[in-house]
Amino acid sequence: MHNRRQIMAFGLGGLALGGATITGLSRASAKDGLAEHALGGVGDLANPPQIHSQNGLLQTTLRPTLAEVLVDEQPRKLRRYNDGLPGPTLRVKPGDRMEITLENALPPNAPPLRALDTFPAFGPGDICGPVGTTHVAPHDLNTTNLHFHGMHVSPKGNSDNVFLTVEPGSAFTYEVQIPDNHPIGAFWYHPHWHGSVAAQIGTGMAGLILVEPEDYVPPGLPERQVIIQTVIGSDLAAFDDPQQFMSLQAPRIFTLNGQFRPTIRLRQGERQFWRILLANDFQFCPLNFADMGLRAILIGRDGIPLPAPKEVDRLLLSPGNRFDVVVEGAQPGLHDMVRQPYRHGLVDLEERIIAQVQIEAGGMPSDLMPAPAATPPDITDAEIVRSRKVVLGEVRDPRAVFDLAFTIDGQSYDPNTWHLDPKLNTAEEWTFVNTTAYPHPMHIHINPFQVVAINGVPVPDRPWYDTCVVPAAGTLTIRTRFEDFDGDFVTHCHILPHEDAGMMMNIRITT
Amino acid sequence: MSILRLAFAAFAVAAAPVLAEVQTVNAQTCLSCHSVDGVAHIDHVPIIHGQSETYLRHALHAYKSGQRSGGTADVMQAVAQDLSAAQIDQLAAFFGTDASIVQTAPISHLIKASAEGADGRLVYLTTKEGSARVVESRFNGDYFRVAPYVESEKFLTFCSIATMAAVLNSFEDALKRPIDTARYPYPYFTQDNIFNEDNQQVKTFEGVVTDGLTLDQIGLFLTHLDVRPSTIFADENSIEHMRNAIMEGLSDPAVRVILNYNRGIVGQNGSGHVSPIAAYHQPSNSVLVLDVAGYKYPPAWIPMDMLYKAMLDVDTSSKRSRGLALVRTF
Repeated sequence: MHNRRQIMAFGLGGLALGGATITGLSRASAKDGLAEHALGGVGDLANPPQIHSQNGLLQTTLRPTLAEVLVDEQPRKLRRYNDGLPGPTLRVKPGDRMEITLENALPPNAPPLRALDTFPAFGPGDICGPVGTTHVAPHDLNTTNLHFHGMHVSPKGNSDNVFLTVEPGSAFTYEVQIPDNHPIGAFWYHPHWHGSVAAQIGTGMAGLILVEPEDYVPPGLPERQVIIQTVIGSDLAAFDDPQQFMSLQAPRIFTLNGQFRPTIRLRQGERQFWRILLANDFQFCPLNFADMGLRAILIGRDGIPLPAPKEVDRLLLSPGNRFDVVVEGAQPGLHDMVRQPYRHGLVDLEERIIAQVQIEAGGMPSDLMPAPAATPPDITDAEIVRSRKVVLGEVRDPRAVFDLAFTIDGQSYDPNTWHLDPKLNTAEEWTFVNTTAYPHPMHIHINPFQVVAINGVPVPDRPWYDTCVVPAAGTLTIRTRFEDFDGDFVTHCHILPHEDAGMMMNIRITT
Repeated sequence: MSILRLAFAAFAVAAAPVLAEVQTVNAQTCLSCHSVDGVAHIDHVPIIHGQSETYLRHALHAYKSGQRSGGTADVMQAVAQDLSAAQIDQLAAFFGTDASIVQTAPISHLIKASAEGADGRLVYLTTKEGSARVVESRFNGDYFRVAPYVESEKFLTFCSIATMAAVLNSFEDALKRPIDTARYPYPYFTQDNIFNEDNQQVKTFEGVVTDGLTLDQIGLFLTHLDVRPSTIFADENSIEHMRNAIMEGLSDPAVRVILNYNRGIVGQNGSGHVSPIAAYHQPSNSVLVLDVAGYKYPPAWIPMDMLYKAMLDVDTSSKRSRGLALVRTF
């Protein structure tokens, strides 16, 4: 499958034809922008197909299906948007509108994993979804919806509303108005139906969204999308077994743009603009650019531009993070791209080669950079109207897989709890307090946040994120502005098995 | 809203009778970060095993009151805020060692207390009479084979693990023993490497920390350690049969005898317990038990009739009686 895309991209060579098909007002293209730079062909990582907005509107259909696909030369059962791993990249400008029809072509749901009457002690309030299941265990793995991760858009109606349900066989059209002042950077879309999130992202449902003005990327700077996924690599019969996919120890296959251990090419001195997204369910992915023979200049985190470019050696990618990085070939040769070892609480995750970087000698040195873009102003002490502690915990619960459920402020996800209730156009400081022995990358929808302290130690440059790790037995202090949009959304752990096991809480922005 | 679910599966903390009234705290919450093996795996998390009980109590109160807060102290504050004073005492006692108790309650007090509870019928090895019985005994070979290898259990619930390690090490080169990196190149069973892959399937390290092993599980563990165990349950056998099994086991240099009994019934502090049997003394009809909780009691000669009653006790985990495991090398 992925080979065909590679070959297509190569076959079109440097021609600007692009096997374009027109969908509504949007331009869908199999053309890889890399091709203009004689990249992305055979033996080089290709970008996913892209869909551009046209005249202020991106109109398209995302159609998830379940199919057997060769991943690591083995057949794996994947859920994919539009038959792609990952789904197509959506390219929009601030002020654009997205009209996305989500056509759920996944098969009907299997019968519930555990019948409610097994647990007569639990009342109807514990049930979510149409069958007798709970908020602390996966269920209805083919029911879905859409979330526009990191985007600053309305959470209401048919916009970024994660409380919507799209059952197998049905369709729903999302309409998302992107504000004119939307941050410039990389975002992503993925399903967010509580109960099926881990299973669906764990089997491949994700895609990149790039928000940027015209001519953001200068013509001479190749843009490479690096979408890292970790699909469940079990035998086919077990791919949807919660005992497996809810575990950190489940076999997971690292892919980049759907390819298993691809090669990424660049020339010495040459620059490329990498839009890195870790679109996965559980494992962290620390990267070391110096080890890859690269010089790396970070310009954006989680879709928020840095105030000034910053040279980095290492980046810790938590599930859900994006990093916009300009890389430069520094050391010629073939280098491994390694998921660096990571201490995941009490578990040591070993290093893993996920790709190779081939740096060829004799490139043309370049000092190209994407156009400067605005960083939100720092959130000052004076702006803070309220400080809160948000306590993360775990609890034994016979309804949960492994009898282990996760909690926020002492309770597993409860759709009727609304005690996180900030006022519109205010700012608050939250300290996530992690009472568990495992790190939790906490994500807040709709508004980005500024990290001010980790374990009580101030972070000098106060970076912006929408997903940031709360260390095991530690704390993360953030500040966030609730701007532009009132309404209901959630905060949750982006280790998605934790989310499906209850580590999510409602937020209601009131006017 | 409580962070600790206090009513959950009891941890062994409540074993001491004085704590019976206190609602059991789920010490698993503490162990998940402070670690079950006493080694901190999270960089900023301190080792609390063996910390002063007084210090731990004060620290928990300081977290609970908010006196200690900010940074990672917020984590402990969230954990401690719902603990009662009694629960704080309980946890401090579990993780702590109180220097003042060590000074004011030497082991002779404990022995005296237990001897009184058992009508003076327990004879400790450290007494003149106790030592004399070893010399007089015609079934004392295992004392000299096993005693050098006895190490105290590393947790209150690790009596079975410490016992297996001592017994297996006593086979010396007759048994293939694992080599730890820490002791390379010398083979040795430890209370960690008993947990090989097969045994972790039976019960994980953390699981044993929580509630120990039953006699059946001890048998299963041993089958995965290249020895042949046979378990003998007291409620299926007469006292004569049990005594004969002990005597036969002690007579055969290729066999060791593991005892599972309720030490409360013989008048000692505590309840379900496991230790190796080292000798049998015919004139007094008593059995020498090499206690793997050496921090509580030295080895004791226990009269056979008391020991039989202590083996008849029903293990609440297995719902079966206790008894013996005879361990034979191939």
